[in-house]
Amino acid sequence: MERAPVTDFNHPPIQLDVQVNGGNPPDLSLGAEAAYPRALQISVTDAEQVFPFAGNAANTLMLFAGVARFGQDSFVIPHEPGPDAGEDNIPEDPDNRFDGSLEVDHGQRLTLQLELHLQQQQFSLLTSQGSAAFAALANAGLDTGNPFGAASDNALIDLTGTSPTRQPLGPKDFWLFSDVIAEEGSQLNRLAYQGITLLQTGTFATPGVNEILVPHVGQIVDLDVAEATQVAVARTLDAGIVDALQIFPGIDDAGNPTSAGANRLLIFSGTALCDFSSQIDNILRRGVVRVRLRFPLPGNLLFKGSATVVALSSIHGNDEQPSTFRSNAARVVTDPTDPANPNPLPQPAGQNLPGGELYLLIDVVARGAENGARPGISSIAYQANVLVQDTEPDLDSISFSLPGQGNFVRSLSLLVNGVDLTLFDMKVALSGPVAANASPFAVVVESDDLQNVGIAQAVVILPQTSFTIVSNLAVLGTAPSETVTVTGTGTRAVRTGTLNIIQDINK
Amino acid sequence: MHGKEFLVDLDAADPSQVATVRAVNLGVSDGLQAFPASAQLKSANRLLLFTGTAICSQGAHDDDNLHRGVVRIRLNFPVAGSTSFKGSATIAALASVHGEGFQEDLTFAAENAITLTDPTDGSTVDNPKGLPAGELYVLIDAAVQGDGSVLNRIAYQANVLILDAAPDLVSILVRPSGTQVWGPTATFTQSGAAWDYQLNLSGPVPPDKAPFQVNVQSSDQLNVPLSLVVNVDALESSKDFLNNFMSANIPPETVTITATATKGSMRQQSATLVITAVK
Repeated sequence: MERAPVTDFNHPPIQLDVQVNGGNPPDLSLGAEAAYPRALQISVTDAEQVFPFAGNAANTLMLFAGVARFGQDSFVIPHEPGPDAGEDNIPEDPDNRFDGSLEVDHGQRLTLQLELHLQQQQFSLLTSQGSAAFAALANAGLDTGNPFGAASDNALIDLTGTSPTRQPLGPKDFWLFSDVIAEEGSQLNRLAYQGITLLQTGTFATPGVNEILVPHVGQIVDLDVAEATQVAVARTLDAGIVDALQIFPGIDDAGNPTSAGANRLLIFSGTALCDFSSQIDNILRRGVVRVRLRFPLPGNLLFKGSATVVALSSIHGNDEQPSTFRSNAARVVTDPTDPANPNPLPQPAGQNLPGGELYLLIDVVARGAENGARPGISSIAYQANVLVQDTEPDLDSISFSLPGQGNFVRSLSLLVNGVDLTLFDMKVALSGPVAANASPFAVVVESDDLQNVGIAQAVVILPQTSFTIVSNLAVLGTAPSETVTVTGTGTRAVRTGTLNIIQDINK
Repeated sequence: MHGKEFLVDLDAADPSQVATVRAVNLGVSDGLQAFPASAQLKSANRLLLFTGTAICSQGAHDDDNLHRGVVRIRLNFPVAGSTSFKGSATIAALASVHGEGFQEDLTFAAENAITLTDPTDGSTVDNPKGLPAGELYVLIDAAVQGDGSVLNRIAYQANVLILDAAPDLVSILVRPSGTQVWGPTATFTQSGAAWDYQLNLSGPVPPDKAPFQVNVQSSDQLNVPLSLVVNVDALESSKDFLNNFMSANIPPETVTITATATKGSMRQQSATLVITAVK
C-alpha cells in the first residue's frame, strides 16, 4: 500500500465537523463526529514558524486536539457487547455516525477535511503565520485474516476557507487535513489529531458551548507515570506563557465558564503500556485506561483547561479473526473518579487515588480471538496539554537607577572615574505581591563581574509587597569599560539586568 | 534498550522521508522539564514544536518473529553554541500499517519516543551515516511482526525546551550629540541639532548569533529621517549611533524612535526626542 504514490490532500474529500453531535439524547456522544474536541488559545511572548519556511511574527498559539470520528453502516446496537455483535462488520465502530458516505474503507484514499469549528468574526481578518499538525490512528478495525491496512499519511492545519487544493470549503475556519485510507476489509474508524496555528492577535475568542461527555464503560487499567514499566518515556514540560483560555468547551467540569489568566502550559507525553486485550474470543472488551500524571495541584495552581490527543502506538493481532483496536476518547481530569461523567469511575481496589492531581482518562476497546496470544492494544501514545494559573508571584525584573533617583531601567549606563566608587540602586520586582500569609520571597542575585560589581546575595521581598530596592550598591572606580550582567533567579523565572560601565578616567 | 534489528534513518528536510514536516519556535517566559526533574534542565526560554509523519516503510522480513529497531528522525535544528537543550516531551503513534493476513501473530508498534541531541543516545544506537551530535533527533523504538507486515508510517510531535542565550533588546536611549548622559527621552531647544542613540542588549551577542539586527524607525520621517536595520556585532552588548540628522525646519513636537529586534523575541523598545522650541 505504501508504495503507491501519494499526492497530498488531493483525494475525494470526507468532511467532518468536530461540533456535530449524535443528536439522540441522552447519549449525544453516539454518532458525534469527534470525541473531546478541544481548543485552547495561548498568548506567548513571540512565535514564528521556522520550517519549512520562516513565518511572520506571531504572539498567539491556537491549539486543537481530540479524536475525529468517521462513519459506519454496521447495524449493530452500540454498547451491546456479545458474541453476535457486529459479526459481519467487525472492523466497524458501531458508536460512530450511521452514514456510509463518511466511512473510510474499501481501499479508497480520501482527504479528511475536519472543521475545527471556531468561526468567529475576529478570525476572518487574520492569516495563519505558521502551523504544525499531528494525525495518527486512533481506532481501526483490521481483517487480519486477509491482507489489511489503515493509514493516515500526513497532517496539515490552516485557518482558511479553501482546501489545500484551492477548493472552497465554506466559511473561513480552522481546518485539519489528512489523507486517510483503509484497505478492503479494514476500516479506519477514528483519527487522533492535534494541530497548532500561529496568529498575531490581541484578543481572545469567545468561548464555545458545553462538551459532549463520553460515558465510561468497562474495566479500568490503572497506570502511573512514575513507574517506567507502566508508562514509557513519560515526560512533563512546564512553560511560562503570557495568558491563555480554553475556548472549547467554554464550560469546565464544575459547570463554570472558562476564563483567561492561565500563565503556565504543561505538556505531558508518554506511552501508556496498557496491554488491553480481548479476554473472550470475538467479544468486544471495553475499558478505561487511567494514567496518574503525578502533577499535584496545590492551592496556588488553578486548573484552567486542557486539550489531549491519544493514538494507537502498539497493536497485536493474528489471523484467527479480524481484530479491533480503539483508543476512542481522552481527556484530563483532576478527580480520578471523573464525577462529571455519566458513568463515574471507581477507585482502584485497596487504593485511594488522591484528588487535586492530574489524571488522563482514555476510553479503549479491543476485540479479536486468541491464537497463542490475545489480540489487543499493547500501548497508547498520549500528549496532554494543560493550562494552569499559578497565583504565586515569580521574579519579573531586575532594574537599576542612579542612587536615590528612583528611575529604574533594565540597562543603566554608569560613568566611573578611575578612583571613586560609583553608586547605584537595584530594584528586584515580582510579578505580583507576596501573599500576606506566605513566607518572604527570596531572589538570588549575582553579577558576572564580582570583582568590580560585587553583587552576590539573596534579596528578600516581604509579604504584601512586590519589590525590594537595594540602595547604594557600588561599582569600583577602576572598573574597565564593560557590560556587567546581573542575573536574578526566582522560583522558575530567571531575569537579567545590565550595567554599562564607561571608564571616564579624564573626568 | 533500543532494538537492533533495524535502523531507519530519516531526514525531516526530505519530503520523501517525512511528510508534512513543520517546526515552530515559541517564546516562553521560562520553562523546565518537570518530570523527570533535573536541576540542570531549568531556565528554558524557547519552546520548539516539531511535527511530521515519518515514512519508515519497515517490513517484518520473511518470518513470523517480532523485529525491534529504531526509527531516527533528524530534525535539522542545531542546538549548540549559544543554544542549549533543556528538556523534551515527545509523542509517536501508528500512522500507517499493512499486513498480509496469513500470520498467527501480527504486531505494529511505535513503542516509545524520545528527543535528544545525541543521535546515538549514548552509543546505544548505531550511526552508520555519521550524523552529527548537537542537533535534535527523534528516536522512536519501533517493532513489526508478521510475514508481509509493513510499518509504513509513524506520526510524531516533539516538544523541546531550549535556552537561547541570544540577548534581548532591552532599551534604546537617546541624547543630544556632544552630551554625555543617555536617557529614554532627550529634550532639544534648538531645531536641526544632531542627536545620538544607543541600543542596549541584555548581554553580549554570541558569535554564532552575530550580528544582532535591529530595525530602527522614526515616527517623523520628514524631519527625523531614520528607517534602517543596524547591527550589534559579536560580543557587543551595547552600541552607539552618533550624529543623526534632524531637520532645521522641525516644529515643536515629540518624535518617537522605535527599535525592533528582527529575530528571536522580536522585542520592541522606544525612546523619544522632545523638541520644545524652534530657534
